[in-house]
Amino acid sequence: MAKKLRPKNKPGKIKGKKPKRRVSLLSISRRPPKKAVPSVKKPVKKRPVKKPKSLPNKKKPAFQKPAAHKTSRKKPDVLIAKKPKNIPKTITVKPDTTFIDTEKLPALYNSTDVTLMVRDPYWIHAYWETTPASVLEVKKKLGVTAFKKSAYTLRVHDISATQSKGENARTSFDIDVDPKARNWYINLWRDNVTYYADFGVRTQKGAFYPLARSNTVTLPRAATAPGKPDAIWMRVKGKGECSIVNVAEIKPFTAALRPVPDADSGTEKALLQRLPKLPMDHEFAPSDSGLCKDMTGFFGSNQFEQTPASGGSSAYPW
Amino acid sequence: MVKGYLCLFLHAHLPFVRHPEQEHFLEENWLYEAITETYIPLLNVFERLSSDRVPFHITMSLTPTLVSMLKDELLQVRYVRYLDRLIELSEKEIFRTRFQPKYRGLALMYNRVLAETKKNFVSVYKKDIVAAFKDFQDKGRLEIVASCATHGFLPNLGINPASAKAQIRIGVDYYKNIFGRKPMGFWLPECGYCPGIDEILKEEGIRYFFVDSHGILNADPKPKYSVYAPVYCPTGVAAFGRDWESSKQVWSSKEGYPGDPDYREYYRDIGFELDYDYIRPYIHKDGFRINTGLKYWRITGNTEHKEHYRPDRARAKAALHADNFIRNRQKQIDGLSTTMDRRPIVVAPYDAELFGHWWFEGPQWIEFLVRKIAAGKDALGLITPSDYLAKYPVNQVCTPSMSSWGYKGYSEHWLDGSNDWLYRHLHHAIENMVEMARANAALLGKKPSRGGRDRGRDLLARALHQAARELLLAESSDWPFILKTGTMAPYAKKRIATHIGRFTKLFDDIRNNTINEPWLKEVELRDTIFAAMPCARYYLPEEKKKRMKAEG
Repeated sequence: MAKKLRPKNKPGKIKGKKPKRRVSLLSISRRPPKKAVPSVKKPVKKRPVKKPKSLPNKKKPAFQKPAAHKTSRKKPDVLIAKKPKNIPKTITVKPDTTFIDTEKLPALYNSTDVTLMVRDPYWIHAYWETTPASVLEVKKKLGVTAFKKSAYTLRVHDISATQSKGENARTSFDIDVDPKARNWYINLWRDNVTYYADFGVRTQKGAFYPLARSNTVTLPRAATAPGKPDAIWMRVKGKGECSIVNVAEIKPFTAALRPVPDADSGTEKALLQRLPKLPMDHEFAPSDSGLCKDMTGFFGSNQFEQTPASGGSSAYPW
Repeated sequence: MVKGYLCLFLHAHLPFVRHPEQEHFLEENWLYEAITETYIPLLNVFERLSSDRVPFHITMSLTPTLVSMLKDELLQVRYVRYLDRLIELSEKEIFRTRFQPKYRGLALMYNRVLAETKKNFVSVYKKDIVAAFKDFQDKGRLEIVASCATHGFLPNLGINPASAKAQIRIGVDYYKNIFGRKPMGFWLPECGYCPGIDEILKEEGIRYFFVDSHGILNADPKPKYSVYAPVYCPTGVAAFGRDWESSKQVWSSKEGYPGDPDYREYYRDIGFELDYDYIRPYIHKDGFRINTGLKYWRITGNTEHKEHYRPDRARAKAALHADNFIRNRQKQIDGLSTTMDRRPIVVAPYDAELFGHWWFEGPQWIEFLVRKIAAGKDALGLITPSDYLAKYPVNQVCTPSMSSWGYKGYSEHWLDGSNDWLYRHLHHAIENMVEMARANAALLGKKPSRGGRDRGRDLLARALHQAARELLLAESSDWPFILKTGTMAPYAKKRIATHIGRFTKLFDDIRNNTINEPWLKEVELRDTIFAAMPCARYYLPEEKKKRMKAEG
């Protein structure tokens, strides 16, 4: 109905019968596409309502209450059209135009991919999609019978150690997934690890035909990190811009900080005043006053108490 | 002498809910209720404190979604309509309760408060609450931090860094537009942090952000001062850790203050309690009962039977609880100050809507807290994070651990069986958005043609920007959150489907060059968030954006 009306209206009807009416699309669209009757009523109601809205701005607030009161009870809603700044306020349309929102999520994206997401230190969520073509390719390679016997598999690679120990440190494990599944939660036994996964088909003999490779994820720690004796301290200056000064590079001072009883002991001034007195090199021995303890004492375990490193192996003195 | 500091942080956020297509929309009430019960009461507290010259250094975030709703004319008008109806109801209530002295006082109270709220909203704030908050910031009493564009949960979105970047950059730029200054701090939605986000923040000139306790406790290397001093990420952005003791005292529904028997009961509302015929005009248009905001009962205890609410007793309790809170912080600080070389900071972030909306006496509690701290000359002082950083610019360098303040501390609340399906769509949409923006990079760099001469080009640019807006709206962490909690889940589902659907249609239309202008216009009128911002540009790679800036 609506579609047919439009082209007809354009040349003849509107010009002949009525002048083009500026009507808010919004007020129209919420109306179900029933009949022409209600939609004609709409603009008529709209005008008296628009006025009260401008009233309170001009007049004193005393007048406002009754005006707003009435507005709200009758038909206040058409004020909508006044809103936007950048966008055109109203558009000229036929009252029977309806706005169509599909509200449909695409079922498939026609791509072969797999994505990993971190849920917590011991769980990864994986989701994937395959196209029939990519599966068919593997099928051709394997043959139908072999394909039937093989399983869809997530091969999860642990690459946490590869950076330091080289490619040989890579380990992996397989998870056979349901052919119909499109996502999987993977339970892990270690935190603080870096993984990526391949989604593919594994034959009975153990050959793996990958279909897609995922992103890389790093799981968070489940517990506190080992305290490093060489804490790095940094100063960030400025109000708006940050200019970074790495204090550790200039003077290592942290372990020597002694809380002084006066209130300003912690301020930057006091810190900096004490800095030059500190020895610069590796012979420096931290104070044994015990006042500047690691905070671990507060939380039960004291196993990472800071101890000075004996040699000069560390970049920092202790 | 101040021995340590308390940083009180209020995170004000609501998802973008604006439905011009329907005259009455239930979910819009979230905003109206929050204005009546939280935002205006908070402003009243600030107003009273500053007129009494009580120094308060409170930190707040107003998320872009909330700000754009508060700035929206349609919603402002509808809010006045909402208030009018409530005032009318409270007037009826005064009459109805004329022979029930217990309730009549309460009806009178509600009537007075609502009338004052309306007066404040319309005549004092001129319907613009954001400007009122901005005013306090300009006076140096309040610090407002920026937040993500649409409250996207960054650890889940960060799979594609472009979307995390867009969320943060749009948030920062929107903040600049609204508050007329650069933000110092940033609130990561749901405290969701994962390493790498600080780099984006650094690029935007942010000085600090907040993480949950275990984000700091599990940082690498282990921080010396736990959560009681900020740490710097390697990029130089400071991370403040949430203190768990203070949060538990307020948050916990069992041990926390809000569960006290003298406080007002949230779950008993006259919208559900009174005669259907009587209350009918003030509940949902379709006839089902909803909260009206008029509640006459106190928590009483773990019983079905509820006693009537006594505002005087509740107020006394709020004062008592403020005292208790201060005393506990002092104990905490006393313990800490012997082991630290600086004054510790206790960071206590809360959802702003907790105060007033859930915990009716919350704003009073804040007022008592601030006044008592100011008057006490105790070991406790209020401070904002940027003041603290100015005092102590030297901090340890650590990489905070991935964390959030949600259930179990990680992503589980936003990634489980009830909501994991949506990420497939989000990630694909993000990919498509980036691809689309790159393909049209040259066009996005240009301004709209003069006088709209080049219609095709303008239309394409509009479609691109609107597609970005739809994507942003779909990214909001509120939808998976609602899906997980189960209440109003169909609405969240519908919103995701709507925005992804609109995005997909725009994406297809742009690709096939079949943009339907009336349809686009309608979408623009509905999803007005960031209407003035060229959202698609934020999905361009950094160099291109910079070059564009240089070219003007």
